[in-house]
Amino acid sequence: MTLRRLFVAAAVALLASLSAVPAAAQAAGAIAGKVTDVTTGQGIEGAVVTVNDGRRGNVADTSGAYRIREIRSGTYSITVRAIGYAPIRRDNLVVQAGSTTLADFRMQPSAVEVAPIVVETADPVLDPLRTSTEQVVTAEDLRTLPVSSLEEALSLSAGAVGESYRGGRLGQESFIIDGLGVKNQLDASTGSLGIRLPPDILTEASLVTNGFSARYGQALSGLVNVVTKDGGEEWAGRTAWETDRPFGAGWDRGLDRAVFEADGPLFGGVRALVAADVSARLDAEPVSAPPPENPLDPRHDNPHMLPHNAGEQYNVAGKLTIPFGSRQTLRVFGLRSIDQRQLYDAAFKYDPDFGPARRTAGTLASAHLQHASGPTSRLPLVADLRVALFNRDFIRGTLDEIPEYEFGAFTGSGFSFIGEDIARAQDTVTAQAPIPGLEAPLPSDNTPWGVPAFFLADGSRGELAWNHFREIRSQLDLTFGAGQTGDIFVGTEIVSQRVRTFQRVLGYLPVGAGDSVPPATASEFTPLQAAAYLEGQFRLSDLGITAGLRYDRFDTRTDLPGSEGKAQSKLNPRVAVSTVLKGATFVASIGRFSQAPDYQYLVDAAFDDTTRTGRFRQGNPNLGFEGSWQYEFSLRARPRPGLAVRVNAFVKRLEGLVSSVPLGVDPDSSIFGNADNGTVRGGEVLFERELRNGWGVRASYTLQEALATSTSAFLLRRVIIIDPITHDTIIPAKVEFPLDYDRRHNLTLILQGQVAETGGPAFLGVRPLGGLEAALIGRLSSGLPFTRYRPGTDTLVGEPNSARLPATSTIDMLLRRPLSLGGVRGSVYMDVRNLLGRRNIVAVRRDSGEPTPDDATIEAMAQGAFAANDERIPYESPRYRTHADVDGNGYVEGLELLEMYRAAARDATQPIFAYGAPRLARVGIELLF
Amino acid sequence: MPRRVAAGAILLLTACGHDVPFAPRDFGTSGPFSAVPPVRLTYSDGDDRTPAWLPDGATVLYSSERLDLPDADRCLHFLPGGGGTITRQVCARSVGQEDSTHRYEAPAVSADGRIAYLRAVSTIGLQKGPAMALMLGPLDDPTAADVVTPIPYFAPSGLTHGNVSHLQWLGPTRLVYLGENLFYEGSTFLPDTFTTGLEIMRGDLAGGAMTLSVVPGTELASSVAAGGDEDTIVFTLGGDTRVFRRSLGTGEQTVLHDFGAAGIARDVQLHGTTLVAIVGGSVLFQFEDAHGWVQRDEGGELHIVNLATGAAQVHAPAGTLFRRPALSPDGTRVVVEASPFAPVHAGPDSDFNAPNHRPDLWLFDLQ
Repeated sequence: MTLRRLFVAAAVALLASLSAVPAAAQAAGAIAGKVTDVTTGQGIEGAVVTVNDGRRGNVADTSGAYRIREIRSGTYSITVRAIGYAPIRRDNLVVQAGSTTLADFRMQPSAVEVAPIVVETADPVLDPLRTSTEQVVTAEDLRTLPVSSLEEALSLSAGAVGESYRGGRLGQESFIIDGLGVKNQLDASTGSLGIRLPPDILTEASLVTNGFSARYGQALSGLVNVVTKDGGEEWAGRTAWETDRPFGAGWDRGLDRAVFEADGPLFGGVRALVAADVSARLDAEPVSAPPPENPLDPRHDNPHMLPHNAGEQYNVAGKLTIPFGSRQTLRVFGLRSIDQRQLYDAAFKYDPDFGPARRTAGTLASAHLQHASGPTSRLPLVADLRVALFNRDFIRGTLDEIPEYEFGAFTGSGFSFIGEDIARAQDTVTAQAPIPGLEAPLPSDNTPWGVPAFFLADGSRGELAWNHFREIRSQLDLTFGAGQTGDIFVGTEIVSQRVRTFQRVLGYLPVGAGDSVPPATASEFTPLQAAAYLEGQFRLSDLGITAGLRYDRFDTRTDLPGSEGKAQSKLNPRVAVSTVLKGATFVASIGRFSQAPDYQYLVDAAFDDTTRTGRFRQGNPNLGFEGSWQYEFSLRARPRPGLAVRVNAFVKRLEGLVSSVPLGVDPDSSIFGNADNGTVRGGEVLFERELRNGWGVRASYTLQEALATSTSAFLLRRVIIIDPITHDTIIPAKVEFPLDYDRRHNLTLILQGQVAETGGPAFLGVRPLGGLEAALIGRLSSGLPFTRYRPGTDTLVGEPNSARLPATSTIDMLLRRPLSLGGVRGSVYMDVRNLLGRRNIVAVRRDSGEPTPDDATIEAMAQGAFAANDERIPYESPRYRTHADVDGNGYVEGLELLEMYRAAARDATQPIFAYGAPRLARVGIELLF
Repeated sequence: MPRRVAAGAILLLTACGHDVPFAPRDFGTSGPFSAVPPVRLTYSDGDDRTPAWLPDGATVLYSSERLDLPDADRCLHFLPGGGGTITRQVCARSVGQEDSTHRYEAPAVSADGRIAYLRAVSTIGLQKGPAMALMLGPLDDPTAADVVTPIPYFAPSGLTHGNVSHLQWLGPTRLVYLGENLFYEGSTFLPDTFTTGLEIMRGDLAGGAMTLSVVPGTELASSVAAGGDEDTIVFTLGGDTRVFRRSLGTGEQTVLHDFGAAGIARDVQLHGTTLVAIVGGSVLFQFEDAHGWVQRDEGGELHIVNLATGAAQVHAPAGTLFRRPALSPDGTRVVVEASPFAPVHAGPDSDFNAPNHRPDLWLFDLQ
């Protein structure tokens, strides 16, 4: 590779910026290479290269080059046949999604089959056609690292902060499951996807953070590309059970989890796969908040678990792979997820049954028909037709009754919510009246302090929120071979969606009561999204070029009073150019990305949360696309066999992100608009030493800065201000603030080790450490930004998000000891998160900048509550506390009472969720069959 | 074998129970603040009035003025008979009720779990002209009670009853109470009220509806109580020192006891041979031009008489007046309103609006 080529690559990238971006995040990869005569070195024209059972393949051209497209990621056997040559078979060829596996074959001119000859396989690290910045998680990673879910595994990726990628807001990513786009278009920025894949169903998953293929849209910051397994040729499976029951003493958080997976052939070539992942936890969101100092506080002696914080998840998936004829394959996939949670609310600490709860249920059902031309086809073609139904149902409110636990935190039944029937019927008329079953909360009598302040009982907060999102997606993708060095991708998709929402706050009061109860809001509309793309990927010697153009369109097909919805459309060009330098591959990419805004911003929203700056926000059916331009330069190198280094530098320009803008002169009224712009820039360094000789290392460091003019969709952005004196129109300065997930520094280190089966000391003929696997994940991250307010006011101290949380760090560990008894393989393992029990601060109060309020705030709270109710508490009252009646006169009064208000204020402001996860441990037993 | 090992290990793991989250402690008290007789059961700054026993004899139900609530409701409180922490409170806390003062008073609970009580609703701070009703409903949810009759109402005798008191169940289908006159006097804005008995009423339940009728011969009655069976009542008359027993079926009426020189008897209770009544004290029976015959009553001495032996206990602590005693179902304990001494007022007076007596409940053990 030369400087000239580098210059060409850069020039192409520059040109592309005027028109388009690239990359390839796909469910499939390709196999390509050359078939040559071992004696002459000449290409063997007409050599037939086939995969596995021969249904897929390609015929070598005059130069001997071949290319087999759209091969699902996995491990394959390749067979090469040519007249006059001995057939060659190559086993265990690994194909990764979005990658071309290079395999060259040299054939003996003989009629006798000889042993497999591996001539050459290309290094995927250096693959010039791999233009996307992908961080891959394999099924083996999910099993051998201390992670329990795909989301946890992806969060190890460089640039990931939870489910925010490269500084973006939540919801700026899209899921691709076996090539099919899945997104919660309703409230991805504040809610979950609604479905979770059982980890055992995965072949691999990758996070793509730069320009991804024009095939995919609906994302600005990342693409989570998941490839699931097909059923195998023999029945096999895995089951595991894990729990933290044995630990006790604060290590037991009520966890029970079971996973199961089995796959194999059924009949007539049909193969099946079923997988399940069910888990429950008595404390579903454990925190490491310190115990309170006051011994009367029940958390003082039992600080580890929170009541009314249990949750359970059920994820079940199944898949059928059905071959049709010699060239078609039908895959039918189904996934059902239910996630239901009781939500701890500090105000209901002493009467937790009145706390809120939520349930999210998701269903994905898809069919994928694939046609692939035969190995001898002159015009290689792979056609994929996908049809999918995706449902997501969400409800949050007050439970009808607290469910009984059947086993651990498993209830075995679905939560039932008060007013759920009204919400589902979107009956805003009935909802004018108080929701039957909801009661007004009253001050709790059950606190150690007795005073009627800060803690509630007898009724809930009266919130009832429900929404339902459904989409039917039809997607056609065509892959044409353009010689042996290129591919053309073309496709289209149409997505028919249906959105229904309902929201009611203070449901125990009639609408309008006290001028503080907004009407229930409901909406129903049926948006339509459509997209089409054309993309080409070519390799010219050491130069790889990917160029594509994607057209996105969405039409909410809804009008709100006074505002007519209009269709929006966008063209998104993407280009990537790569070339091979000496022992390294350089990639430059540029692309434009668009995503339709969350549909939640299209409808009116009522809030009972004054921290969100308004009680009512008007929906805007005319919101346009949120967009970004992203530029990236990436260098991949393999300095030594088994070592890989990647360096990425990127700039992302964000445009038209949703934020709130004032509506009229009412300070409490605002409307959602595409008013936020920003910039994310950063660099990533990734290092990997493959697991060899018993140890391996992966490390990544991210340095980035993410700024925008608003930090979230709910932050009010004033685009104009009217001077109250001169009545002049003032356009405020366009100042950029750190985005909520602007994590400047992040270092992740993954160490893996393995003891040989025959390793370690032997005792009585047994080697207890033989085969032991260990993995350590260390993370060190700088703090996220937050906004300071002056105590007791809504006046900002400095600019939004100008303050920073302290740095956080964790070390997670997994130890696994394989077992093989009586022919059945398995293992026992122990998984410990936050091994050192570090108490990370993940949130602070906006007034004090610390997890806890300052003394003045406590005193003000206590004095205010005391002034509101200074009646002395008589002996027979449920509020009377013997420990508070210092003078023993049968009353808690005066200073005795004030002291109880102070204690209650300290209790109510305990920073429970200001701290991250504590040390969590689990033991598991795994059986492979 | 390995499957068995695994199954055994899993069984072993599941046999371990999980830890449980913290739970609030019970800070309630059991027993009275001071066990020195007479035992004081309540200490609240508001009025604690009209006690009654639940049929189980373990719990006292009474009306408590809640000064800690913005609307100063009077709620029904359930208190252990031996004293301690209130175990249940029934208040009008539903939507729309926060702008009014709701009074639940004079409760009476039947053996089969029904509660009758007086409900009065008035604007906060205004005592005149409340919307009143005699209520009947389930003890499990007294706020779901139905109106037996709004108050005031015209009794079959032709009199208008502006208040009811002394509600008592004679049996599962029969209730008696005292129909009263209700007067306001004193300040226009902060009036005081007084009531005086008119006649005894009986209510008979049939098919869920209650039929009200006047008990003959009870004009100017001042109290009524169950007389031992469904057909018998005991009662007192205004200005009279005697306690009468009357058969509702036959109309036969006898003098059960005469307190004689001890004074006017009222607030009678009877169990077996144990008779309890308030006698003498700060009480006045007189004819007033504005009101006719009235009995003004600030309270008196607590008399407990063994009708079999004639033995009597008299409780008259200095500076304390008693009203509305409630005899436990087994006849062994009496809960009574106790308030600081206040002179009886002879008639309407602009200064009548004296400080509230703020009665509390006291307990007397008769064993």
